[in-house]
Amino acid sequence: MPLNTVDPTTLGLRPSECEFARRQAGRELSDLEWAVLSVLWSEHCAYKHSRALLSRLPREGERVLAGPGAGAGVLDIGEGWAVAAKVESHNHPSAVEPLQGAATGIGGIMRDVLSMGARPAAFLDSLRFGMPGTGRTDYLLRGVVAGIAHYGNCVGVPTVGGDLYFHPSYERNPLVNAMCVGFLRHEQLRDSAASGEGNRFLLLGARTGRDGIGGAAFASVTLREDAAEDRPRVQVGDPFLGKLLIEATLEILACEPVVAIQDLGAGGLAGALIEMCAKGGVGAEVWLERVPLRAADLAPAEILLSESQERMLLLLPPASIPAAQATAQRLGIIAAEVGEVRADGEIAVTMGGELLSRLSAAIYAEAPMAPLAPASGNADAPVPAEPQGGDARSALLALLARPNLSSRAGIYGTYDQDVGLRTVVRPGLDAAVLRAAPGAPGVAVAVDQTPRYCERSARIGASLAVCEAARNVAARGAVPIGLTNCLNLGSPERPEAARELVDVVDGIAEAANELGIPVTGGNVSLYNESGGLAIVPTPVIGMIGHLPDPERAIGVGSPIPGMRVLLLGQPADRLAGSEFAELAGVQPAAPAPPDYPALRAVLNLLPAAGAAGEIALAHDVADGGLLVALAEIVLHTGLGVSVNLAEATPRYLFGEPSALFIAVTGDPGAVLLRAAALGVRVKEIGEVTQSAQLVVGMPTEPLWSLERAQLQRAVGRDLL
Amino acid sequence: MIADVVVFPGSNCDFDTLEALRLALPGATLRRQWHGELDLSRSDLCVLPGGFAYGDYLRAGALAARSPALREVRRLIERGGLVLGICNGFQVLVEAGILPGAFQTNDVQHFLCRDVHVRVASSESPFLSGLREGAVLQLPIAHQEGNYRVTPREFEELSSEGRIALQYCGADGEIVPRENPNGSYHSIAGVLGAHGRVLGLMPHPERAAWPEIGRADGLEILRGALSVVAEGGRA
Amino acid sequence: MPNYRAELRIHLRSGVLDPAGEAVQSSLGHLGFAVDRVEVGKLLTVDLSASSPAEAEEALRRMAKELLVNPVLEDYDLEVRAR
Repeated sequence: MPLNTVDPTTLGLRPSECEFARRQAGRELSDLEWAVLSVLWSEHCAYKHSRALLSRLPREGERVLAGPGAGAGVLDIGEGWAVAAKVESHNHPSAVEPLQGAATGIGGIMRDVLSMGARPAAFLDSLRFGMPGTGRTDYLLRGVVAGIAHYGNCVGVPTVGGDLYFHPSYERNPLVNAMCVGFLRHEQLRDSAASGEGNRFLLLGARTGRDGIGGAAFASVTLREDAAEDRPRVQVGDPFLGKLLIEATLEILACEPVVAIQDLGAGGLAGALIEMCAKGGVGAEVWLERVPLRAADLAPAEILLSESQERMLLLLPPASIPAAQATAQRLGIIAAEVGEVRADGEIAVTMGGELLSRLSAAIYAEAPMAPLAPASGNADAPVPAEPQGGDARSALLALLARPNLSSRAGIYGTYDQDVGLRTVVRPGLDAAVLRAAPGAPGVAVAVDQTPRYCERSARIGASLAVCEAARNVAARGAVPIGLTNCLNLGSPERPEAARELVDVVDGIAEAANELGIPVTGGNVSLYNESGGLAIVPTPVIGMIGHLPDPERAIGVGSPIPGMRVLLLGQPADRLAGSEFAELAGVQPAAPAPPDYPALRAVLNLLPAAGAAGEIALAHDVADGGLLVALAEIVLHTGLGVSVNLAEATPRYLFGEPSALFIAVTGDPGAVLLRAAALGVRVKEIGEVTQSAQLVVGMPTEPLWSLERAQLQRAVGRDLL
Repeated sequence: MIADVVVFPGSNCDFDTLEALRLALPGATLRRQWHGELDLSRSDLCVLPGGFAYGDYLRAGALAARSPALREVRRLIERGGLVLGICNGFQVLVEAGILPGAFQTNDVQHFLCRDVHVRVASSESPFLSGLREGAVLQLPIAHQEGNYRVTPREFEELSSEGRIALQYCGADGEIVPRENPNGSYHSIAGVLGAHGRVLGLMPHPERAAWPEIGRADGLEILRGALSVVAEGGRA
Repeated sequence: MPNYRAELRIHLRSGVLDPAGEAVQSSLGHLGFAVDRVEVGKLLTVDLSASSPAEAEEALRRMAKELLVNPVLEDYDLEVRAR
């Protein structure tokens, strides 16, 4: 067996980790083993700093069919259908090459969902950039959007949602978090645990090239100032092959007795194979000479660790391999037998019959945990005095033109939102609605996080992200049944960032517990800092809301002039954390913590009233506050809204509450009755009008109005 | 009646089209056929669906148009069968020379997905026989290379032969540049082959075959094949 | 100043996946053309005035660096001639 020539600490392993590995193995490791270990023990693969913390998140729920640890979370949505969903980051690759970075991020998360046996049905993207208007930010934004469109449109999976925020802290560290949602029948659910001595591993998809070698380790080191130098490791996505891979995988899963399946992501073939074996408590023999290569001169470690895209690893009984290969060949895709299960738990790597390495799968799979040393908690900044009075109409126009509130329609327009026939409500307001198939159950889906809140309090900001995501699906009449998350933070080796990591986990746990929403999995992206500047803590929440009858979701039909406009829930009681406070130059302060009782009540009301057909449209009050939300309804529907508001204070008009909705109803009496029964505060504030304008009356103020065209001009800034 | 949907590697609206045809053509035998094994000898209708056949590498539709499957499509046309090319399928028919013209990238230079209005310019086709000339349909588009080009002379010919099928327009049916989403010559959204039995169109009728969610204007086009069968089948 | 025509041939860096080239190669194969490799690149023709061929070339290299070429994935050849 080849001996050790490399100093493993040059591969990014810490001396203590090397010692631990040697102790576990009972010997020195070879170069090949160190190379594999350095990738599998990277933060990106091993969650060294976060794994223990994540156990604080609630995971149990009656609808959870697969939770954390699986390729994606899977939830029961009734009638034998289930939904699979996961969100994952592709931040560093997108900072280096935005188009391919985003494209491969989309492809990667799609294969996670595919690995559960689900057909990928929709993408959502959570994007964060530095302030727009600088050449670099505009280049990154355009590249990332083009990458999402390039991969998603071609692979035939619609993009139905997302969020986009600008904040100076993302200038050097843009974030690209992608979420994929898939549908499956319960009996199609698959697992990645390998079993059965002699079963064969079938590598399906692209040839292996020198793509993204060390990509996982790359994502775990703080981005260098000269990131351009990291370029040769960038992977290239091929959505055309990705589409073939979906069809070939689903057909083989349907026709052959597949024992286990896993996508190839971080750590490539080694990552997938070792995870499958470690999960199943078995080992494997790998035949590297059988891996189809794009370049002949790949070294064994490169074959094992290459992050070439569009590949899946399937485990099948030997007798089923020929049929699976025939299916692949018919569909024009390569399928190679690259190894078999060993009962002894050892991973034996061979090339042309020569044994290159033999080491226990458990050693590779169990990286030593890294301790967190969080700084002690900071008191949230005091709530400053609030501005009074002012011109609400001008403030509204100014808010709508802010980069974080302006229209995203131009971006959505470059994504195919409809392919697959599952999109019942397209993106634009709160959450999109998907059906598993025409006539079948479905979901409302949203991703959310507001950097402004997290900047002042990581914990409250994380809780509020869960609340907002829950509100967004509830606005379509859905019941939130599970969430997935992606925690984007700075270096956990800094006490302040370690504190933020603890705080965002606690914040999510609190809100998830309060609202009874299980966490079905997630992803952690640390080390998002460069040049001494770390990002604002960014816990992105992907929410799944259940809709037994998505074709009757709130928002499928259109409001009609004459319908009444109601406020449901608790208006804002302060400006702290709001976009208005930033606009007004008020000293920033932590936002108010969530009002869980009020939110729970209204989350109960909307699905019931929606299912009864009492609500034509609902929209949650969030970024920018009440007037912005009313303006968004005018923009979205093309109709007008005329309201009389109870207060004229900035906090009422522009504060950002955690439990407030605007609802449009043709049957206010029925909604009022429900609200009384469920303890929801409700107030009728006006009506929908034919004339496309926002008309606002307030105590002691003259009536004012804005035409839809004026609102359109304010939000209509072209970001691309 | 037998209707076939051809699947090229990279087609991604094949399942959608089948699903919509199931609704539009009750009782028809529907088949999803892989391009490499295509047999249209018993077919009444063949649909080339939307997607990115062969990744749309080189030019949209160019590689698929060289597939042996196109020989089978031409034979069906010679027999008087119906052929419908939707979006990428339209691009394939144009690249194969079955329909005239060529496609360029949208004038906005990026992919576009949204609802548009199209005006029925000719009903001299089974696919449009259920619609009157001048009718306005709301249909979704989703494409990057939808900027349809023909020469002025070809346009005159197509017009005089009643082969301009659909044109982008406003909700009121007015054909004006601002309602043209992609820069297509004279706002052309769909054209007919000789005898009206081949229709290529950029909008996706299969995505608008769903009355329960308020998108149903594509149903009539998909149902058009029924008119031929009702007349006694193909020639 | 003399006029020059520059041709910038942009191709993928070696080892970078070229899905378009692979798809075209495969289609050529189905049409009976056996070829060893196809690469899909871009050709940019730039007309400009400069005091010398060397200055024109220098300008093109700056354009390549700042806009025309994506150094993450692409490399290029440059040819400058009088027009």
